[in-house]
Amino acid sequence: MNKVVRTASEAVADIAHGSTVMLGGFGLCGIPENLIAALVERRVKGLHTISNNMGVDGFGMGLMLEAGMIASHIGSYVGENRLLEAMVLKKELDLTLIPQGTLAERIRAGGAGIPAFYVPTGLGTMVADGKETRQIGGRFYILEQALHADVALIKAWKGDRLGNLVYRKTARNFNPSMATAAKLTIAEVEELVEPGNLDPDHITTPGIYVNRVVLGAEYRKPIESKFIKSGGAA
Amino acid sequence: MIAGYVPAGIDVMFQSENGMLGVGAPPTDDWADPDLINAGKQPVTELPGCSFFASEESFAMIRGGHMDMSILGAMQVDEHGNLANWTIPGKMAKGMGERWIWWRLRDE
Repeated sequence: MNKVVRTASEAVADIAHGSTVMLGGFGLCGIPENLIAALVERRVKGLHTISNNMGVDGFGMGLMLEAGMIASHIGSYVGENRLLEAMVLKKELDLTLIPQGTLAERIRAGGAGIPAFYVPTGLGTMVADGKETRQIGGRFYILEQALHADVALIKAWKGDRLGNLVYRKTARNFNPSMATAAKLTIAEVEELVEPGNLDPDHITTPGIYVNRVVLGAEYRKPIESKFIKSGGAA
Repeated sequence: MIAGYVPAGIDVMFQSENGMLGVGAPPTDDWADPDLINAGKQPVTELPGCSFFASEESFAMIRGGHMDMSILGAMQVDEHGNLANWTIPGKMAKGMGERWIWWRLRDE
């Protein structure tokens, strides 16, 4: 079994216009930057994206936005992107904001075969509009639906040709759950290793969830918010 | 931000919603690891005993009631302690903070 694809361009070559695409990452941390670049090169249009954030102006998903590739977006926080704000206000893009924990759990549920679940988050607010509510054990909850995608673009630290993946530090974030919730999961990695080189106890995403693996050509990994102090206090 | 105001001798472990327990101070020199950030997307360091996990687990630990305390940022607060923390009617909503989490601590 060999899931390795030679280039990011080859990995995204068959993603269709109008697809629903999940993209891993938190801010610019742990984003599939090579796969995004390849998708931008293809100018795939009308995408329905699901990602915690929307990159920044000029990097990450911001590049997809600037190329006019995104028709709708589901996320939890988009405050770092001015173009998105302008497009939403002009109704050029349909934006849905979801509490972050609910977003993560909806994706997890999608991959785990759970169609919907009850959560307390958002009860009594706009978040609950149009959703079923139910009292369980004396508390009220709202019913949230699982999320699925046609494609998940994810980023891991190391991977092997079977699709087994290991993440690094806080670059893990939404990547493992998204890997489980799409029909086609494409992972880019910083290091491609031989099967057996990853400690099976450390594999976070078992290869069964991954369809394609590509070695990222280069990583810029910009730090979104510089806050480095001398002296040590946080 | 809050971590900088904890008095000496008090032992606190901070969680960051993006998937870390045991968040340390910002790096003190030019070195910063882009794979090691807090929920404000700022570089941080690791404290001994820290751990990393995925977003769904991060919020399971928050929603599941495992935190002793949460520190919230807000746009407005009323005399009853009700918070407005994610949208202003008629304006662009940028995203919501959940009830139990300590994100959005940046000045906006």
